[in-house]
Amino acid sequence: MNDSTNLAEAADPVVSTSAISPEQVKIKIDDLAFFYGDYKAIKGVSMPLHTNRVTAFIGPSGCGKSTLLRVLNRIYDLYPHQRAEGSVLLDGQDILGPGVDLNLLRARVGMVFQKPTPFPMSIHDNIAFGIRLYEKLGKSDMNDRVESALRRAALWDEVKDKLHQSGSSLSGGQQQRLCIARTIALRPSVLLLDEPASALDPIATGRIEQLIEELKHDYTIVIVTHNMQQAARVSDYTAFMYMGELIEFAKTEVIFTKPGKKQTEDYITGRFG
Amino acid sequence: MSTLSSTVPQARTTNLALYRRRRIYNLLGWALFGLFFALLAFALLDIVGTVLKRGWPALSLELFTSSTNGVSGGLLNAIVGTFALTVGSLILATPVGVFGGIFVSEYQSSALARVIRYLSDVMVGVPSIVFGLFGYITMVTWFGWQFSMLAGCITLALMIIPYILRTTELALRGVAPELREAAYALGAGHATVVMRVILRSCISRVLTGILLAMAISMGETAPLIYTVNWSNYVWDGHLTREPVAYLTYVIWSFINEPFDSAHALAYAAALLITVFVLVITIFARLALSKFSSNQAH
Repeated sequence: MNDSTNLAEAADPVVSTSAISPEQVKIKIDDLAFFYGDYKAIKGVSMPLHTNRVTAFIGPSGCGKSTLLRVLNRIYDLYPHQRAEGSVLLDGQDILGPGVDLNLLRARVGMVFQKPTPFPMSIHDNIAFGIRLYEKLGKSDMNDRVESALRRAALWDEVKDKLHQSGSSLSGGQQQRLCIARTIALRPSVLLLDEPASALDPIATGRIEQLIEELKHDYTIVIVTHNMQQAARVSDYTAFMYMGELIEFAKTEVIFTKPGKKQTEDYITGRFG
Repeated sequence: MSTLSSTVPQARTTNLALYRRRRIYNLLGWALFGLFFALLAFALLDIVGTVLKRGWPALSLELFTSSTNGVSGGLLNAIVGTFALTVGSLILATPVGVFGGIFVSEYQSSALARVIRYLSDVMVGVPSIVFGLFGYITMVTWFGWQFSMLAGCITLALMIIPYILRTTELALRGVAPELREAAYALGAGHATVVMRVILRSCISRVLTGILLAMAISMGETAPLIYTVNWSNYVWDGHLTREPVAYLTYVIWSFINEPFDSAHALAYAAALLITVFVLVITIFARLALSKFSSNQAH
């Protein structure tokens, strides 16, 4: 709808909607528990995810941060022995409740994975794939959408002359930006990033972080990361998790300068984890 | 080596004794490997050599232009028959095998998938002559089709379906789970994910399975003896009530005839089958290497 204006104004935070109503809550997680079979991987987690802000989930391996992310688009539903209890309100609607259309939910809550996952098709078709699931567009409209998604993901200039080459011919960092482009082409309101840069070199990582900075003006972003500097650089809020529990949730500068809990301080100073 | 052992001098003597023993086992292993490889290579070279030596002189234009006439003439009827049987059996077996493989892979833990997987494993182990007898009893006599193209194609198809099914299943299961999740994460339904993303990413492995099944069906004799019999005429397109000629029959039967012309035809047929199967296998390899290079990026 307002794609073109967003494109022009994305770099200017003053005009973004978030500046007008500072701390709207996009997603409200309330008393969430998650089970892999009998194993309880998340225990009573509650926290808000703010509109047009970046929230980072940090914590040692196995603390449940990726699991928590996977609840937010219910991708865990693919596996029969995984289930969630509690509630997750997206714009006031409980996505864990009955009668939720998972496909529509996932179109609203996009996800990018740790490993770049280009589909076995051309760069153009990688982007068009998701759009075609929901919209019937003519050729030139589709080309426009593909271009705007690639521009938004800062990939257009690198691929505009080879849109019909295979997506897997790109470098790892380009593939990851292709996956981000593919996700935002659906115009979701929330973007889930599961360690999006952990398989990338520092330069590609820098590009992704820069991209997150730009995208947060239009999307509510949740990023899982092992890299604490990355969390400090890109996020507005940070949630520290440990052994399935939320230990501390606060503004990122608070978590990294004067954390409220000893465990948080130990983790961010590298004393454990 | 020397710098390593000088930094850990106390471990040096025991390590050397162990190392010598390891080297002896290593040599032994290589010797056995070489022996078995030589045995295998000898058998293969002997077969290819004999087929080439005896089949090559028998090649002529007449082979491809005229049909057998008793135990002489050409092989046109057999070549046409073999191709028709192979193509026919693939047309029947490919959809069943590929969709069966998709089902078994997508619903791995369902009872039906387990039954299908078990049956297909059993069918791979059944001797091919049993398939021939089955075809004879059901289609040739009971259905009244007599010796015919249709009975032969269905019998061959039954034989190769399990191969296609299993290779398809394994190909699909080899696809990284992240790719599946990524497709679902865009809000795609199950059918779209499987057909547009999963199947597409392993299509060359599926094709390889089909090509190998094609090679198997081209080289079979036993299932056809009881279902298509033999004919001195080029197949005229009737699906039932018309026996069909095929190349492996020529090898199997003509070699026992006391005539030079029969032997020549048998070796020519053997050479043709070998070349056809070789060409198919090379295509399969190329498809597979294309697949792996796609994965490498």
